[in-house]
Amino acid sequence: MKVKIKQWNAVAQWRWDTGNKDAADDEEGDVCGICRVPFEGCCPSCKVPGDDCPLIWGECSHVFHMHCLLKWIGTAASKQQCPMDRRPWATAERRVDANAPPTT
Amino acid sequence: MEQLTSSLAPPRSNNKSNVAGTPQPAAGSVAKRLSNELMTLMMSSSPGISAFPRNDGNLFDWVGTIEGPAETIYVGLTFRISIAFPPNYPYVAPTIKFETPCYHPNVDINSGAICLDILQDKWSAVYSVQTILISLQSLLGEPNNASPLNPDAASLWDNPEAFKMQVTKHYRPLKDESA
Amino acid sequence: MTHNGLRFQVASKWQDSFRRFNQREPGISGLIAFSQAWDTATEFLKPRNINEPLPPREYTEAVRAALDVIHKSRRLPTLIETFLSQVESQFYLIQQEIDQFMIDYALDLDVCVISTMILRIHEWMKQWTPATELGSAFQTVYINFFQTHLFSILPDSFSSAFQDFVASTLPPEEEGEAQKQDPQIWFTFDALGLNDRFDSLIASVGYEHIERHVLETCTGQWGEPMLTPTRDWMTTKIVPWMLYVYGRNARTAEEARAILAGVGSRFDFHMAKTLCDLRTREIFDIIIDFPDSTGALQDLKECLQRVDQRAALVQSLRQAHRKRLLHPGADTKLILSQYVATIKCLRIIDPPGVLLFKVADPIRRYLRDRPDTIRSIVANLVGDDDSGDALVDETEPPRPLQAADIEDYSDPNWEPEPIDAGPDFRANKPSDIISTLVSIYDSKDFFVKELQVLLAQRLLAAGDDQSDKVEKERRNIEILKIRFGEAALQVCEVMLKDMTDSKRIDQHIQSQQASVIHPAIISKHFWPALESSEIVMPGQLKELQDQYMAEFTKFKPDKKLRWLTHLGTVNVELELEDRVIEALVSPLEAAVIELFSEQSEWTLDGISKRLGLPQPNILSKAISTWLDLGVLAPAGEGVYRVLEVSADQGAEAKDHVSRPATTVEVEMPPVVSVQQQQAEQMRVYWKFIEGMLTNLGALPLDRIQTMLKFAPGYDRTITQLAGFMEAARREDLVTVRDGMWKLNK
Repeated sequence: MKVKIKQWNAVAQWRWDTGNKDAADDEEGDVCGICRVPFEGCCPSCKVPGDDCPLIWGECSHVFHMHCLLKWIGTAASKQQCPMDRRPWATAERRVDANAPPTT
Repeated sequence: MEQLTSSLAPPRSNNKSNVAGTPQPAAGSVAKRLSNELMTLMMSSSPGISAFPRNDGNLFDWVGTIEGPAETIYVGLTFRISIAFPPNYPYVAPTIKFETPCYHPNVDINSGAICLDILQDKWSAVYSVQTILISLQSLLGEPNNASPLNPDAASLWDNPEAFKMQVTKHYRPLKDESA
Repeated sequence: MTHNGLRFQVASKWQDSFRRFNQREPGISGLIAFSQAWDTATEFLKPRNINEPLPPREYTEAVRAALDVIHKSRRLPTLIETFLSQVESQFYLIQQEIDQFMIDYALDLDVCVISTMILRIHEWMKQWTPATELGSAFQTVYINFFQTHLFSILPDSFSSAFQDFVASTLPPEEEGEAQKQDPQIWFTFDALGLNDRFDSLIASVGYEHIERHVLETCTGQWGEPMLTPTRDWMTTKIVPWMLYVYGRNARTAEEARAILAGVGSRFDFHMAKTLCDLRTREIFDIIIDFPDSTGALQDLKECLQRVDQRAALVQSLRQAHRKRLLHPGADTKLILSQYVATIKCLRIIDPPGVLLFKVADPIRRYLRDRPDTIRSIVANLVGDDDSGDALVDETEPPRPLQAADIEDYSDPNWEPEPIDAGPDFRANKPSDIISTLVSIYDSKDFFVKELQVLLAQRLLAAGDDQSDKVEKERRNIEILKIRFGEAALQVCEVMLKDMTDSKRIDQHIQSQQASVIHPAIISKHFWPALESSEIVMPGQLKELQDQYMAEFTKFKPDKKLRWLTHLGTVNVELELEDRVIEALVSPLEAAVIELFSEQSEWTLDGISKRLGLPQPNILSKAISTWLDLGVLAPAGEGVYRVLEVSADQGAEAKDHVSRPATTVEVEMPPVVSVQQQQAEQMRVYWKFIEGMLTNLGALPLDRIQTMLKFAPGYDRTITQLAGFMEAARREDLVTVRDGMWKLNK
């Protein structure tokens, strides 16, 4: 018998490739430490998730909603540090979508 | 169609989807985060710490309770604190004060003001009510005598018996506990 | 002495009487004259048998003189008494006739017998009437005596016979068969005192006539208002009759009107009450027929203003609902549409909404307990109702949901609540149907979640080209946004956007490398929780997924895909030795048949291991699909193999078998029961109660209730909370003193 697939209407979820632990494929996914909303959700100032509300990776390997982190960095209290480890924030180049606008 | 129906988890049991979903104006999103934190705090059982909004309809003003940790001078005492969240929380730290008089090197005995780095220059947007409460609890047993708000207490710290007497002298039990 | 005195008194009395009778005539001549006069007078007055031919009575000079003598002797009262006792002794004559008439009537029930009888009695009465010359007082005494006596001898059967007769005087419904009665008969009734005596009986004849008419003409006639036609009928048929019965003695039209006003109002009231009772009995079906029954509702509205039957209406409707609607056999959709119709109908009858409030309460409570109510309402909202019976008029413009009204003390149009409003009645400001339905539940969140589920079903129920469908859904959501608010439906926006984005992404990927797989790529947190499945796709299916994923990652480098392999449909074509079969199947079914293309025989265990399914029983449905299609056949216990040559040898080889998409029931972990869910919720609420009592100290119950609003989805009533707290007290978790609850430490 030969099976030919003529058409497949499939369903898939998208996920951010946060780079950590592919195998485990953790059920809940991670949340942004600043707004406590899952990465695949959107930050409090956005209505639509995904490309319009992208993530930002630090060289320290911490990840946030870009909008949340930029807002944090914009406060005096932040001293331009990563909120997680208080090391000076440096955005990791490789992860940022080239097309994404740099700020809101 | 039915395959989907049957694969949809009980619709009402799951409210995760909404957490991410509903956009809010600025105050709304802060309230959302606070209500999220309240839920987390209620469901986690951290011994000896707790907090709850003071009045219905206002998520920005909480009352917290901290029990003195075991093996510290404060054991057996319960302290009430007030937590006031700014409108731009969590980018700015909440204001926290002891409502129960607390004789402690880093607490102003009159105003209840607290000197704790994470509430001032070490604040981070990733902190939460829970992390604050835990820090405060450990501050009771491990004061920072280098920058005291209560110099008398700082100098008395090394004399536990005298210190304990001062603590007891200033302490006022919670109202409903004495009733 | 005493003895002599008494004797003297008797003697003197005797002398007086004697002188009076003797009229101061010499000797006893006066006495003789009196005796003659008495005889003349009594003879003149004597009630005679009218069946015997007798000369007419004449009031002669002799009679006059005789009466004069009696008068002067002050014996007139005695004369009257004597006359009346004669009347009494003669009454047997009348009774005989009445008895005969009643026998005749019983034979053929001809009411003419009754009228003849009554006229005959009247004849007797007239015949015996003392001459007018004797004075009206004499006559009055006689008439009263006669009537009293007459009533005492009328047999029991007379009242029903008289009723029949009165009924026959009513104008008939049909012009043709008129049974004409001389209206003059009513004067005869008057003379005999029958009208006064049988007043309520006569009225009841009128009432029954009206009742019959109303029942005959109005039952089931709901299209047009019947009150006005019935009133017209009263005017043309009943009023003329009433004129004879009640207004015949009126001398002027003015007087007649005054007499009729009172009695007419009673008749009109009775008509309204009859119609009201009828419509009250019919109300459930009237509501079913709405809007074809608007006339009946108008009637009911007007009748209720005249007749206070509101409580009866509420009771009737509630009873009908209990019997005919609120039972397990009734479809939720039916209950909903009847509820909506009830809302519309009762708003016509009673705009302030008191009746609706009382009637709706049991329906709402019943609906709240039905698991599929929300789904039905939402399905209807989005036009997904296959019955095509929209609860909402298309013409009704969508409005924002209206919250339960809070009393506005500054409202200049405030009106006091209707008198029969209960204490929990909330003034029902005109709110639209959807708001009313949504308010069955305490929170609109349920609806939004249900809406989301429904939208997910509709969007993922595949078709080749989805753009039309997505557009239609978008329009739906736009309308629903007006009702539920923009924010509440943001998730639905994202779902729709996911669909259009998926299409755009697919177009791009197909342009890079054409593929037969076209995924809907969804944003996890904005869709209802979709169970994930662990199926590992075999062979070319896996390849298709991987190729697509690779292209996707090239296009969106920071994202990856997670396949929901239990959702969607696959169109497969199977080439067998003697036939080609095409089928639209679930991905799991496709995966199973794909395995059989690798090797022609598999065990169930083998398949489930290969597909990574923990329980092989999920497979049975997929296997049976292919068994049904004649592609697989059992080959031993839990073993299946491909039928390369059709088992159906006699029949022509089917080269094309198309079958519709199957509904694959992937077995899911059992749905959490309502009790379990509630227990879980109560656990959360308890944590909140613990939290507030720890930090805020002892609290009264109502404060706990309001503070629990901080718990997500809290929807309990204070009564439920009280029960819960009481249970906690029994468990020694809390104590209560003076209404203040505190934690037990």
